[in-house]
Amino acid sequence: MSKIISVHSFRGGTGKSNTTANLAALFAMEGQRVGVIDTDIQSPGIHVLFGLGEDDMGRSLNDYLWGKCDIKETAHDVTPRLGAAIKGKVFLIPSSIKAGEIARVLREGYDVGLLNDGFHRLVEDLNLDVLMIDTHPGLNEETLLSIAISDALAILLRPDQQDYQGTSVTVEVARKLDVPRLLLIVNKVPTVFDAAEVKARVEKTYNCEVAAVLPHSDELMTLASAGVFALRYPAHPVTGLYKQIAAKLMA
Amino acid sequence: MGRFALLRQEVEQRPPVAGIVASDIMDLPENLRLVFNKMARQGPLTVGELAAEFGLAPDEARQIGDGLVAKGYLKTEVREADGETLYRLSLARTRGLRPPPDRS
Repeated sequence: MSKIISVHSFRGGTGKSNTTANLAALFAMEGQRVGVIDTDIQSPGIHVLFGLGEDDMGRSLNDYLWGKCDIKETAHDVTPRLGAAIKGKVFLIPSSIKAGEIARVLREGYDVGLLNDGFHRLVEDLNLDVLMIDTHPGLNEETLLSIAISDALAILLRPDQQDYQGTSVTVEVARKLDVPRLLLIVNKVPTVFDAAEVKARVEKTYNCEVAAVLPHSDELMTLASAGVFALRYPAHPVTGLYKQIAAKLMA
Repeated sequence: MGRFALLRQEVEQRPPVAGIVASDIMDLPENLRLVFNKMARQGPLTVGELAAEFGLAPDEARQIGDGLVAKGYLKTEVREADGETLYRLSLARTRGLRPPPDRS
C-alpha cells in the first residue's frame, strides 16, 4: 500500500529538502518507486539536489495547477541522474523556478482541490510506493494540506529556541489533523551536544518520538546540495541515521 | 442530545463557505474534524462509510452529508462503477496575496 510522507519544519533552513532527497534516494535504493513533489512553490529548491536545472525542467507543478497539463506530465524521472545503482525509481515533480511563475501563484492563488487530486493521481499514475512531499516552512494552506493527507509526517527542527517554539505549534497542528505517524528529526546538532540527551529532552518536551538526531556534518555542508549525500557517502554515520529515519517512517 | 441531533446542530452552526481549506478543518468541532481528516487522507466516502464514521444510521448520515454539501464543505459525486453516491471534501482556491473575501 502506498504511503504519503511529508517533510516539514516551522522554520526555514532546517534541512527539509536535503532530508527529503536523501530519504527518497534510500527508498529507491531498496527498490521502491518514489515520487518527490516540491510544494514549496514560493522558494523551490529540491530540484538542485537531483541535478535538474532550469533548462532540463519541462512541465512543473505550476503548469498542472494552472490546468496546462496532467500531473503525470510534470513528473521527471531523475533516477539516471543519481549516479548510483538504484533498483527502484525516483520521479521529481518540481515547482517552477521562474520568477514570473512564482509571482503568479502568489498573486492569483490556485485550486487546492487540484493540488490534492494531484497528490493522489501521482500515486496511481506512476504506481508509486512512496510519495514524498517537500513543503514550504511554516504553516500555510499548502503545508496544512500536506499534513492533512499524509500517512506520515517528519518534522525537522534544529536545537534552536525559535525552532523549539515553532515545533510546538506544528506538533499541535499535526495532532489536530490526526496524522497517523509523527516523527521528529533534530538536525544540524553541534557535535559537542550529547545526541542521546537531545533525543530524550525533545521526546519529553513534545511527547513525540525522535527518529534521529543528525549531527552537523562538514561533508554535508561542503556538498552544499550539489547532490544526494547518502549516495555520495553511503558509509557515513549520517547516512546511517537517514536509513534509521527511513525505516521508522515506513514502520 | 443524541449524536444525530448534535451533529445536525454543528452543521447548522457552520457558516456557508465556497469550499474549505485545510485550516478550516482544524476549526471544526471534533466530531466533524475526525471525519474530515479521514476524507482528506482516504478520499471520498460513501453514505455507508460516512454513517460508520459518524456512528449514525445511513439515512441520518445522508442528511448530515447533504447538510455539509449545502454549506459548501463537501460535494457529491457518483461512482461510475456502481452508481454509488460519494461525499468528498470541497476544497477552495487559495487566496493569493489579495485580502481574503469577507465570509459574513
